[in-house]
Amino acid sequence: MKKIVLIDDDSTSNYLSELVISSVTSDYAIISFTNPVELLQQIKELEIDEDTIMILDLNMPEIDGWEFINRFNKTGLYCNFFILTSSSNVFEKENAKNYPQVKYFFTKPLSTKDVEYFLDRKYRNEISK
Amino acid sequence: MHKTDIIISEALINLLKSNTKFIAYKGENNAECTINLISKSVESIIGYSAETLKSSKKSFLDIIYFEDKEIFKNKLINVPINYKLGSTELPSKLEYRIVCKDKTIKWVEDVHLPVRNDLGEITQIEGYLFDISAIKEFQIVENTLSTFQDAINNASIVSITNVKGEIIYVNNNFCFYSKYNSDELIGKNHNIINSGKHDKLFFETLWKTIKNGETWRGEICNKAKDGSYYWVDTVITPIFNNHKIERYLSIRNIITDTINYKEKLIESEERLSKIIESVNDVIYTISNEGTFLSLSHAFEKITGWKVSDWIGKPFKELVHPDDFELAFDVFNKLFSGVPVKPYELRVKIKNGSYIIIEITPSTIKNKNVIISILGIARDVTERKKHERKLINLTQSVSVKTGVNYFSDLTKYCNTILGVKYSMIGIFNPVQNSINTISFRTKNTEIENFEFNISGTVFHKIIKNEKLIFPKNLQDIFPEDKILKRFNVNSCLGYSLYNQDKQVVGLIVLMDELPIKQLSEKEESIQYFINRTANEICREIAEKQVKASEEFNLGILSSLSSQLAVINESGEIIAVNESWDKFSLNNGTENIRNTGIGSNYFTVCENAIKAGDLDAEKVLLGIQSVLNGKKRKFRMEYPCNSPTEERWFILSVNRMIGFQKRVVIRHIDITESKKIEQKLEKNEYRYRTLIQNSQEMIFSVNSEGNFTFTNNQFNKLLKYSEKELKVKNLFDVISPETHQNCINHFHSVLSGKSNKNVSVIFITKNNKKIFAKGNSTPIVFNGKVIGTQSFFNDVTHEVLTQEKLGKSDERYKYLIENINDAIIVKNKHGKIIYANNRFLDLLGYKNEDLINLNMKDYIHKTSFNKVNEYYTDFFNKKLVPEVIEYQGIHKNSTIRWLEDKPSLMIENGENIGIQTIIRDVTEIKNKEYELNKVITELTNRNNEMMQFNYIVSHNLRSPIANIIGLSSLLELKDTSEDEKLVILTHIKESSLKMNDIIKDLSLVLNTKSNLNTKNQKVYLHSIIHGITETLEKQIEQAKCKITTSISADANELFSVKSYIESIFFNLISNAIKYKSSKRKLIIKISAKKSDDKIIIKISDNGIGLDLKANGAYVFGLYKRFNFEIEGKGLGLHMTKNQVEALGGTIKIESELDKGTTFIITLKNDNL
Repeated sequence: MKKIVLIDDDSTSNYLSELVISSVTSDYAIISFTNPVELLQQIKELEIDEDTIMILDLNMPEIDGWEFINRFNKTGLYCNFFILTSSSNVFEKENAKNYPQVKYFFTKPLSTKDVEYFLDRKYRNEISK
Repeated sequence: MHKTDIIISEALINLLKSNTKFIAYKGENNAECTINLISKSVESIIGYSAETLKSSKKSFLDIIYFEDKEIFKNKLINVPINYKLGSTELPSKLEYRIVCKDKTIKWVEDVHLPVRNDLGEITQIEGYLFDISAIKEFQIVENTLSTFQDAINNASIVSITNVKGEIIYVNNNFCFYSKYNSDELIGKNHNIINSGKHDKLFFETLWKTIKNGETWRGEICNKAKDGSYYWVDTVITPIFNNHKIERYLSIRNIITDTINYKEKLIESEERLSKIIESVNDVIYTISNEGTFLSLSHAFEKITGWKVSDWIGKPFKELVHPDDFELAFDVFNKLFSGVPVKPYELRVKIKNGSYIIIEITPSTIKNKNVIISILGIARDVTERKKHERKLINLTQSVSVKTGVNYFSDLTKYCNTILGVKYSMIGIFNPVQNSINTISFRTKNTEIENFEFNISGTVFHKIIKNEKLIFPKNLQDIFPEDKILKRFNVNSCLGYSLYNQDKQVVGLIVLMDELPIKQLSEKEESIQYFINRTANEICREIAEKQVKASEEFNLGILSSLSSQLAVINESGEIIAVNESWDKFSLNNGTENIRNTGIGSNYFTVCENAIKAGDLDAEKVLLGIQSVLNGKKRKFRMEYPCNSPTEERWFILSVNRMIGFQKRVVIRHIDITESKKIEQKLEKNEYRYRTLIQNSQEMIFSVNSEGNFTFTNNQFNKLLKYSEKELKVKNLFDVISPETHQNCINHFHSVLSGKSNKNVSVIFITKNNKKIFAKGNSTPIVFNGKVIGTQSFFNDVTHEVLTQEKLGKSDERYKYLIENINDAIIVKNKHGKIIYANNRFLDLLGYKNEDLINLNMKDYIHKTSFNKVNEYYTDFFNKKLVPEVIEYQGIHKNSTIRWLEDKPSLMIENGENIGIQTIIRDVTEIKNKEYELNKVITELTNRNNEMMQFNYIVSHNLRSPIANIIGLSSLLELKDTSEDEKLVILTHIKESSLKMNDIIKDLSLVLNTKSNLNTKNQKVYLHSIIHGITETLEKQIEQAKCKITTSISADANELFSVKSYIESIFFNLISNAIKYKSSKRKLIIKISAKKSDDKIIIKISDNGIGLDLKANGAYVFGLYKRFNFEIEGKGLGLHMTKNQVEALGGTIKIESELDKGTTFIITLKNDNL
């Protein structure tokens, strides 16, 4: 089963995203993390593959979203990332250009349209547009 | 030309030390001429320096050649004092010899000048020495050589050829025998006189020998112009120049007479006629077998034998048995080629008795082989009766020479003539007197008897008057002592003559008894007279030749000077090779015609007519030597060839032995003249340098009297050099600097060199010259004899300064009290004036100004820029601009200075820069602070932006959640259970949002202006309060808190609630992030530094990775640990509070080691 991994220190945000995704599709197993460091520690058990979709918050304590991607890359794994933040600024969109695996930016709360969108376009990099 | 105008000053001597062959010396005017100074080149020339002379206790006179000491004393030391004070003296010249340290004798020309004191008394002698040894040597050699040349020329056939065998010199004898004249011979090859009688090998051997540098001897047959042959005994010697054969000298003696009887008669007419006349003489020839080949008829007359009886018979049978040995000895000698002098034999005559014959033997040769003996025999039996003993004795002593021989002569004179005393005297042409060479009483030669005959007696002898005692004895020995001593009562004196009938000596016979003029003794006396005369002649000739032989024969022809001998009528009778060469190659039309036979007087007269003034001098000079008025004549004259400038010295000297002949000599001195001219140029250059220097250069002696002043000095002081020469240094120094100068002067005289001496000179028209310069001692012989000074005129600078100083009081007051600093710099950038404000500004005192340079008060970061600007400003006359730079106060603090320069112009010339300097440090500091504030505000603004962003971001998060969750509630397929969960989440998000808004108001509160009033805050009590509040946590964490607060840091004037909040946050943070590995220790310290209080709060907790997170530590909502609850607000708040109090906060931290916060607070006590 394909996986969607939610990473946000705000557990409410993760709960909301879970409900929205499951209202759109049941093809994916949804796994939530509030501490990205914890995720990285369990990364092998998660069996992440190319079909895995990561929904990532940027503003987190200890390590932020970008640092998480850096550390993830070091594991040698690959998957598509979608950024979900409460407000995104131009600096961070600019920064995303250095990360080809980041496909799109979404603004909280995650909507069903957003879910349909990333399910449909998960392999396309349209962030820059 | 001989430096008549040299002014010998110390400065010049210093400069002349090098590259000169002149010796400058300076000596005391005492009898010995004690040397004070000799220029350094002396050591290379005479080997002595003034020091070595001194140390060996030698005066200058001591090293002068003994013969010249008198002339030196007379002319140099004892200079006549007919001198007017202040008049100019010209140097005089003197030639003399110096015995150098290496014992060689050098001729010098001394150009000297007395040094006089103010009274006109000579104190010292100064002079230049010019080494003229080479020229002098020529002169001496020439005199001897001319004698020698004459002797050779008279006796032999002389020719000189070059290496190719071409004739370059022949003497008169050569011409006589070869029958060519010299013009026909010069330049021709020597084979012009080749007789063809010698084979090729003969000449090959000859050439091989001489080319090897060896002397060839042999007999050569030459052919004369008229075809006749003559045999010569020849010696050919190579003449070397620089170890290379340059010439061949041939000296030949005619030998033809013994080979060819006829030729002999022609050659020696006198002798021939004698032979013919003397019918008593027997002429005979003897073969190599000892038999008579021929006998003349006189043989029969003398001996009674018939000639025909003896032809073919051995001569031995005629000889007395006692004389056999002698006869055969002569016979063998003659056939082996050894010449034999006339000898005597006893010969048997027909009546059985023996007669004594005198034989003059010679040999007859055929192709160099002696084939027979030719003899001339004379019956001398009668004569020999009286002389026999004497002749035998004479022969036995004939090999002896000199005084011994004369001694023997007097001995036999006494014996044979039976007189008690005899004396022989020799004529001395130099002293015009007769010197005794032997005086004998009976058998004792009286040693060391020296008696010269001159005056009347001498003239009587010259006139050939016989001296007969007692009339004349008194004249010969004017002192009675001698007569008494020898008891002489009678005397006979005879003059001795040479072949030319000139008196060469005197022989005197004396006795205690009257001498009888016996006729039988007359012949014996005559014999003695002849014999003695001959010996004296031989002695003279020998001496002359000996003297000549001391000089290398080669010198004659190698001499580069041109020599000619002229007789009293001006006719040139001999010239040397150089003369000929010069006449041919270089001469003018006149000189070309000065070969042998031409008349030198005529040449001179022609030149005089052509307007040559030198020629007139030459003519008068030669004549003055010829007529005996002068011993020698010498002049220097230029003689330019078309291609180069040349100089010659012409000298005229008497020829020794010939009263009426002179040797004229030209020496090419172009080379030395050129050197001399170059030297003069050099010297001129040095003098020009010194004279034209823009510096004032002068030297004074130890009394301060001027010894040298240059043009600039004279010009500035408006005195002439002459006027200064009689002045003292202190006459021209202004009284204000008098004492200072005296101090300096004594200091320099003690051997020190003083730099930067300031002097005010007073000019002739009473104006002041300000000068600055250096003064050094002049040291000779380790003694300071004066000072030498180089000064620069600084009147301009000083006057500028003075002008400023003397300007009107109001102006001065203004300048001195103006709030701006003012300085005046001269064109060299040196500060010459500064007002009080300037001094105050940079912390200097007036006396510091002298040594203050721009570098001292302008910071190095600004210096180059400022210096460049000033230089440009001064030189390019830029429009003044205000420049700003960092200055340095004397205490090293930086002052900002603003500088506005303006040019000082006097008489249209830039003389300096005047600048107004303003201290802009305060303005600069404010500017700096303003900039600081602006930077701070910009940072704050950025921070605000960040804050706004974070707040909006964080505020939006719960709102987004609420929006999302509530939209889920609206969905129909959401179950009630689900809705309850969703509502719980909505509530959570709402509360979260509430917290954020609370935080926000808190943060904004601290960020807003502090309206809270300051109060006294005591750190101890604050910390105490907090530890009470946190008691629970502290207990739980088992935390230990230590405080170390210095007394002066405990109390501060601040906002209490903020201080409490800061300490609360930091202490609770430390507890929150404690390490589980160790017991928590929190250290709190506070101390005062200047007007600040520094508080440190450190823990040994988990710490932070500052590299990764340092930038965000104090950020709002920044958290670094998931495990420990926190909002990321505490540190942000703490920072805001510290900054609101006007302080700063810093963090130092290391992961797993601990964290330290350092807070710096202003302590606003008021």
